[in-house]
Amino acid sequence: MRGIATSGCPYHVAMHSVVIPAAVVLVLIGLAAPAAEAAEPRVGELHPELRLPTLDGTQTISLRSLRGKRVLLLQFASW
Amino acid sequence: MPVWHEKTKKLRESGKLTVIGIAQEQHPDRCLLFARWQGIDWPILWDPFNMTGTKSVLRATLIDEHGVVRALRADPRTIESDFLARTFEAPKTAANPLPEGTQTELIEKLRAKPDSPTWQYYRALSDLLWNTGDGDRAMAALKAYAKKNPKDAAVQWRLGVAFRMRHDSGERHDGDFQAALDHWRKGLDLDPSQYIYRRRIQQYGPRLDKPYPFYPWVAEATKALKARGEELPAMIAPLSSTELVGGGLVRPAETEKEPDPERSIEAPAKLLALDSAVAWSTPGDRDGGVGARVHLVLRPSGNRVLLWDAEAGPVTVWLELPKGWSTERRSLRYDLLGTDRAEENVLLDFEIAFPDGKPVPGTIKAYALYYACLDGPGECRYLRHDFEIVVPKRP
Repeated sequence: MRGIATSGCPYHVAMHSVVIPAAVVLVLIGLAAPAAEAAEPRVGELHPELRLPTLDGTQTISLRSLRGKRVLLLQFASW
Repeated sequence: MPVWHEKTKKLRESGKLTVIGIAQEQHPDRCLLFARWQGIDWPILWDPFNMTGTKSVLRATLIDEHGVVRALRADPRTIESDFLARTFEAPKTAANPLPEGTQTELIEKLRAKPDSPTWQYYRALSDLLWNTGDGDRAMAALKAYAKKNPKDAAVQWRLGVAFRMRHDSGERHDGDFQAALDHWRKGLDLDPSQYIYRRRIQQYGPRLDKPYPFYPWVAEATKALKARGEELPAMIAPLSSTELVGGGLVRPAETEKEPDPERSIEAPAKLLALDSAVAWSTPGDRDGGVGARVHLVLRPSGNRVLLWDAEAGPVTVWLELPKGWSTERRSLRYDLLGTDRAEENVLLDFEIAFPDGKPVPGTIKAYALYYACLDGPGECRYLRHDFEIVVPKRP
């Protein structure tokens, strides 16, 4: 099995397609996870802090960085 | 999602509203394809471990400029009057900040002073290790945490996600996918109302347990992006056939001709290895537990270099089921993704139904027929590999 090592990723990514730009895929793995306990958000309270990677792995966004803006947070799945 | 995208277009462009998506999916590439197809241009974050703790999707949360939640089920028709037109005061109490420091520093802090290693300790350590890319140590921390806190559904879920991540990687271990399914099931047993957990199992499970096909739009989206000349996202894992189908009865295979009944095709030993996983219906399922979906991974193994010969033809698998079992097709086909000689994993899945609708353990006999090149470019042959698939007792 081919795999490509890169720092910052928990596992090497398998190549399933000849058209995979592997570097992009590799960045995606292992970026999720704030160090805080997930807590259920409640109306009238501060939203628990989050820090998560974007789908393409090019950046990480924290809720804290959005202070000063009115935000719509949409949690969904493409299925 | 398209409704929200359209409804917020002017609000986003005017700077009145910032929209952020969070995808609750195992594979970010599929959601990225969906977003590009739909023309979604706002950031979408990836939350495979369900760090947000959400129990369902779609959830539309409104957060004001102070970081305070103002609605958990926003309505696109009233977002302007109920949210954007209102004034909100800053809260009197500050949020608990995340610990300061780099990921590595935080890990060392935790490791240096584990006052008394609690579940919070292991959970935080695991989160940090994921961040630094140390998957195996993160899994070890999660396992230690699960041992101390066996009733925590979320950690069982996370372990499942972690095992599936490793299954999709070049560091796959045999049994990883089955471990993922088992941990997801444990998580669901502990928290039966968790919609995200249930859907993840159903994604890979039998047809009758599916509320709908999970990724039927992928082909259309791929075609549309190609037509527009746009780049396709990288694929982390190919779609299994069960992710494309919806509910429906399992029809026994029509008369199919066995390809090699006389065992005439050469079957050298120890060229391929098999990994299998069985996805069962979820608790309270609609099919009454009569079915299961079997997932196979066939990969080159042993001392000789083996490359699938994609140009010569697909890999086919013939199934011999125990008496009374049935399946939709006894002949499975895998078209190699590569166009030349490749060493990819061959992924197949199929559905089985049990006699009288009662799941029983058993062994499926099977063989694969494949074109392969051995030990270099010169020796390419058509070969057979016999194997057995053990279906264990339903948990």
